[in-house]
Amino acid sequence: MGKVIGIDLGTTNSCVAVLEGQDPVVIPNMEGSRTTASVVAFTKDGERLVGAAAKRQAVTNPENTVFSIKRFMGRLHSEVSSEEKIVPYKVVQNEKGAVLVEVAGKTLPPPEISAMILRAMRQAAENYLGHEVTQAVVTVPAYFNDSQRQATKDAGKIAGLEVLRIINEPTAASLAYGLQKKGNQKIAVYDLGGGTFDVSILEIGEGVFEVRSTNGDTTWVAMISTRPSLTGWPRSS
Amino acid sequence: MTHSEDEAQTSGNQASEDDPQETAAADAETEATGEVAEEEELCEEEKLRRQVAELEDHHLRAAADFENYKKRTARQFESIIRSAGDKILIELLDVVDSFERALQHKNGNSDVSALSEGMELIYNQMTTLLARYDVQPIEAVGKPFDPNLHEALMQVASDEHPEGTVAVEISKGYRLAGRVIRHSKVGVSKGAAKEETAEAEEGES
Repeated sequence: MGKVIGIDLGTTNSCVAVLEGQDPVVIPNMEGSRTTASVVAFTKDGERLVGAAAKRQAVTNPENTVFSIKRFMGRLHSEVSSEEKIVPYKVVQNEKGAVLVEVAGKTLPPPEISAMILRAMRQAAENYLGHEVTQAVVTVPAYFNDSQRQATKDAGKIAGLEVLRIINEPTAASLAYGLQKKGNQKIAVYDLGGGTFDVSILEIGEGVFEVRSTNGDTTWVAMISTRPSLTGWPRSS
Repeated sequence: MTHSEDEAQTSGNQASEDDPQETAAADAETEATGEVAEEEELCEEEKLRRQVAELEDHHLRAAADFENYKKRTARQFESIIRSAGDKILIELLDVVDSFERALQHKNGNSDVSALSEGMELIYNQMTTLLARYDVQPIEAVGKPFDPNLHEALMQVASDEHPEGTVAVEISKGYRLAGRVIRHSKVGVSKGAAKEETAEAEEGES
């Protein structure tokens, strides 16, 4: 009897939870933290770090520490010229023009990086629950297009998770507050995240959510540790 | 959303043996068909109906028990967290006492050496307290940088420390019973500054 986990795969931080009876319970990771930094690093020794440990060595290894991979999920290289400028790791493309990340001598599609984060969330859940976890629900921004949603599903698959549903983040937030029970209405959801500021207008009718409009600032950077200037990058050359 | 704390109501026993309408119907059917099998079928359905009612009742009770257990556990948890701090906070009060005594003398005495001696005594009192709780400092400078122990705030040029070792400690990290509770904040060496090395080689006399 497996439990389905819910994962918030965020730009700077991710969170995993499970339903115990009627209530959602956030699952702490190996370090005891209720959120895990969405950072993956490849060290000189060939070690792979995910989460806070990856963040702690970012300054010493900027070109092989991947953060904010969510900005590149399901995107074409031509679409990410401004995002590319704010990250110290190399962003390239394949023959179809899809974004790839070049780190530690490897060329990886963004879903592979996200999968490393999802695997860590899955591991935390399995440690907490004491059994294998194979199914998950993952949230994405309301403005994610088909390609971005598919990339998220692919990341889940690579991490060994069957993604039962991709849900919009503002919808998930509204559901958590039980807003679907309060009759037909329009809701504004303000999401000040670590990497983006997203505003969504949702309309609820007969328990069905519709995204009417989205806006915000996708380069809102709340986490100063992700600013390149502190790493000494770009190096003058 | 949550179940009430009271015991869940038993879901009503649907069919009563003494229901005259049902008995009459059963009799009529028996008479009409004269089949014993029909009667057995009704009994079977009756058995299943009762079984379902029982299972539903058990399910509701189990669900209610679970909710109560969760609430109880949450209360116990909060209580443990509150009292876990008591022991160490009481010992910290001794340190507060020491500070109060030291501060009482500050206006009368401008003897800096006495003050610094006093500070050192209080510092030792604190580190002894920490050691008693198995809180140990992490030795960082000179050790290879380890993201499990240290947080790199910057990279620094260093002649003394080879690349990849901790050159400077900005704040100390600590372990509690072997587990890192606070990571050391450090500057990691990126090796000797290249210009300086060139100058050193040129300017040797």
